[in-house]
Amino acid sequence: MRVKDIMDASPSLIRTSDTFEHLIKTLNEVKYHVVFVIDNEGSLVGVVTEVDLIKALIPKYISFDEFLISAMNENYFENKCIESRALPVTEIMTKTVLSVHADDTVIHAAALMSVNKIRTIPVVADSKVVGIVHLINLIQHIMDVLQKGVPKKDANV
Amino acid sequence: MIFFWIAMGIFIVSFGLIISERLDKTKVALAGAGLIMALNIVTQREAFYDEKYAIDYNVIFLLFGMMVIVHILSKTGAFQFLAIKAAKLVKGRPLWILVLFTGITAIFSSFLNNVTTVLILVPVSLFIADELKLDPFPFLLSEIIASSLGGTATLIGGPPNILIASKVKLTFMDFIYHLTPAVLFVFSFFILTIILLFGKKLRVKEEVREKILAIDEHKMIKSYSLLIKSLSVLGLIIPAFIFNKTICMEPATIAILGASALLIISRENLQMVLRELEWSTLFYFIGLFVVVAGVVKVGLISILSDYMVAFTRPDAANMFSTSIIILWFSAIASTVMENTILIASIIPLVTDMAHTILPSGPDLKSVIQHSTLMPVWWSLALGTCLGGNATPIGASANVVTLGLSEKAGYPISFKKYLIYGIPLTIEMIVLSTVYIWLRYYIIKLY
Repeated sequence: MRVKDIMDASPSLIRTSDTFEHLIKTLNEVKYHVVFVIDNEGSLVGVVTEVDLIKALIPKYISFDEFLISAMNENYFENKCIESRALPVTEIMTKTVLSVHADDTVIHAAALMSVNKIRTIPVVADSKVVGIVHLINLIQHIMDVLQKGVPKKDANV
Repeated sequence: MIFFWIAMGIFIVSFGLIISERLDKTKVALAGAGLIMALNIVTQREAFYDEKYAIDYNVIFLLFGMMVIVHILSKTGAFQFLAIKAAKLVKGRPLWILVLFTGITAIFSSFLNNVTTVLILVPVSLFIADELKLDPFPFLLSEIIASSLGGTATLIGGPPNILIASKVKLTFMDFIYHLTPAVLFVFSFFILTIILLFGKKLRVKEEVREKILAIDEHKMIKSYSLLIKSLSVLGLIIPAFIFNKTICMEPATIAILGASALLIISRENLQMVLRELEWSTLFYFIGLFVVVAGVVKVGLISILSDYMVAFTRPDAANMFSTSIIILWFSAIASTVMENTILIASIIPLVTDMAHTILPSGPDLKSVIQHSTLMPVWWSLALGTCLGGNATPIGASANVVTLGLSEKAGYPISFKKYLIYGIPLTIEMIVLSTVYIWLRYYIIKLY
């Protein structure tokens, strides 16, 4: 089976010029709670999940010394939210996104997701995003296989 | 003769690889040591057991013991507690926080190694700077320099002093009597300089300072019982270091006793503690000792020391020019060079020179601790430790601090560091020169 057989062909996209505030609203509305970031030419440059949003609000030095967590101000998080209102998407997103092609095999996509511990992977054609594979799509595929058995032959082979 | 050239070749190649950082320094030192022993330049027997050429296990076990104690102590949160307490004590005034953090860094670093010290202070400083909405650069720069100053002040401050102490048979009190005043002298001018440099930039509104006062520093202590146990062990070993001649115990013995006592009473998991120690540093020293023993044994060091004698013309009665040349030479060399290999090479050089110039005494100690030679050793310690502040790569603490700063989102460029690092280092070396000159050649306080 190929990625195109299981992917969702309507991925949610956001532009590099968008901000934190816009992102929060978008992310809350879209399917799978993940958006792909595209530049002015429409090429994929990053991905944002809810985890990325939280990371953007937590100072990086905390990871050097966890003792500091207990010293942080009660309203640090809330203040940081307001300060970050206009933060550009490029400072929040995860860069160097992995991607698959529509013609890649399902196991290729599944293995990439498992090895890199990610829940979604974009499907690209000429660096444009054409679809998304989420864990939910894979789970749906597993259920199909258990019900109907392994498809006889791939039409493309 | 052939062994002379081989030993010199191994030394130069190891030296080159270590300072160019083409290969990990521990790999280089161990390979060099292996070759030296394989070719019997220094036999394995000599490298392990000989009075003159053996690996200095006093250094190895002192470092190991202190690593264990410091690792357990740093897990208690006591250092972070003290830093936050200090920030609250000055009511969150940034300039005073800078001054206190610089002082605390120097004090911590006088008994912790420099890298451990900045690993504790830098995150707290980034945190305070973030809360006060200030550029963390003044804090980080001052802490890098203070860590090297503190490390120069005592015998256990860092590997260069431990090496000098072991090879020259100096005591903890020798360092307190000779180097601590030097460091206090340099440090007081350094504090004045940073106040002048950064004082105006470090002003914040009262309501911002309130955020510092709102922190509960007591929450930072993770375990009071571990803290009490660690402090009691530290409270026993520091006096033991000070009075080690009276109680007839070498520093390594004290460190091993302290480390093992703390491991037992703290009930820490041994495997977890061992995993966190800097084994590469310990094995780097083991390798380095054998390589340096090789060049000493084949006579390379005596030849170099003859050159040095011809060049600096030391006088058995007055070694002022030798002290100052060693001070500046080691300072300049350590701006780019790993300072332990530098010091491990200069110590035998000075020792050899001492044997040439000074009247031979009843034992080794009477020569290497001859009163005219002592300022040379202190100059070597000051030059090697302080020279590393000039560049971002001059010492491990610099590399670690700048690395953390960049990861936290405040990159400090090479150029920006040099603009401050070079003048401050020159200032400190000039002050050290003044100290050596005043104390040993004008007041003559040996």
